[in-house]
Parts: sequence; C-alpha cells; structure tokens
Amino acid sequence: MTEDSKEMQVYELGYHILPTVVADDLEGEVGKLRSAIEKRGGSFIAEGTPEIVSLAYPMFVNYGGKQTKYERAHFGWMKFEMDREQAVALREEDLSRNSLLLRYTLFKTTREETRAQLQTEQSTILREVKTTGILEKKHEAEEGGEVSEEALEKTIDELVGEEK
Amino acid sequence: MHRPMTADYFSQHGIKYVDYKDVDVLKRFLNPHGRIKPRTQTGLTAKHQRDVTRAIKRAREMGLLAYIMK
Repeated sequence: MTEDSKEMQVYELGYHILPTVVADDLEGEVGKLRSAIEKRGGSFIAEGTPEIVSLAYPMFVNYGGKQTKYERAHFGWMKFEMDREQAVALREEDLSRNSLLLRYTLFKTTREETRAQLQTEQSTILREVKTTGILEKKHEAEEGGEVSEEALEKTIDELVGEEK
Repeated sequence: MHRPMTADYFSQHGIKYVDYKDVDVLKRFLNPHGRIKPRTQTGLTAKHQRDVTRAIKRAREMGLLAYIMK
C-alpha cells in the first residue's frame, strides 16, 4: 500500500481517567489525548466531555505489586478519523502507556451520531379517544321531566281523587 | 415461560445504531442475572441482535454494565 492510498477510518475512543485526577487537571489530561490523536493525523468528528461515573464493578490496578481498587472514574469519549496504521500506533504507543487511563476502548465506528434519540412524544400518546354526545342528551331529557311541577301536581291530584 | 417481545425495538423507535454508551437501552436486553437474552425473547432482527450483543460486551468491558448481577 502506498502512502497516497491510505484508507481513513472513523474510530471511537472511550476512556476512563482515574478518579484521583482532580477536575482542574482533567482538561489537561484530555488535551494530552487530543494532541496524541492530532499528532498522528487524526481529525475530530465528535467528543463527549468526561464526567464522573460509578463503575458497574470495581476495577483493580496493580502498582508495584500493590492492588488499588477503583469504583468510580471520569468517563469520556471522542470520535475521530485516522489512518489504520496510525490508529494501531496510537493504541500501542500512547494509550497503553498512559498510566492515568484506568481503561480504554478503541474501535471502528461510523461518522453518523450513534447515540439513541428516543421518540418519547409518540410513545406517550397511546391512542386517541373519540367522545359522543349520546349520554348528555339522555341526561337532558331526564332533567326536563323533573322541572315540570305542574304535571307532577296534576298527577298527585288525580291519585288523591281516585282514592276519594 | 417468557413471552417474546412483539416487534424489533430499534425499528419501532427509529434507532439506526446501537451504542455501548446507551446503557438504559441495553439493559432491556439483559435478564435479571445480567445475561444477554436470546433472540426468541428480544424479538430483534438478526442484525440488531448482533449489534446489541457487541454493544453489551463493550459496555461490560468499560465497566458501564456488570458481567453478573445479583
């Protein structure tokens, strides 16, 4: 393969930075990752700023024979375009040697936004209900019967007259 | 006995890609023990089932999802 025919591929890097890195130094550490990508000819597409997350299980790191347990980390991600050979070099020379990265993943992806954007508006409306005026009309007819007091007195008089 | 989901979740919601960072979506396809549900239970297309499996494995590796629950 010649240099001109280099195939650019979109990659995503997801990373956990140690929780011991304070918020002020976090931007500097992310800047180091960015500069490592740019140094290898990578062009950025999208980025998710790191935020502290609780890990689903504790991760252990061995420092000189002593294991340190981490239950939280700063999770961030970045999507970029890079040549395949450079991506391999990035993983082996930059990412794997970075002692402040608790864990990382680098994989091929697509240029488009891959996060799910759920259509909540449609799902909230279960079905439309049509109403009819049948019940109201029936109710009005009943009310009309109650109002006619003259008719009521007339029927009472008739009943009293029948008894006499 | 498990009742299978009626239709493909991703087609229903217009989701084109399955992302390992969408943990809440991925949790739908795990059983209470944290194991990936089979296609007979998820009702997904073969492609989406493969995508979900890949995304769950990435999320587990990154500590966003547990390997075992309970």
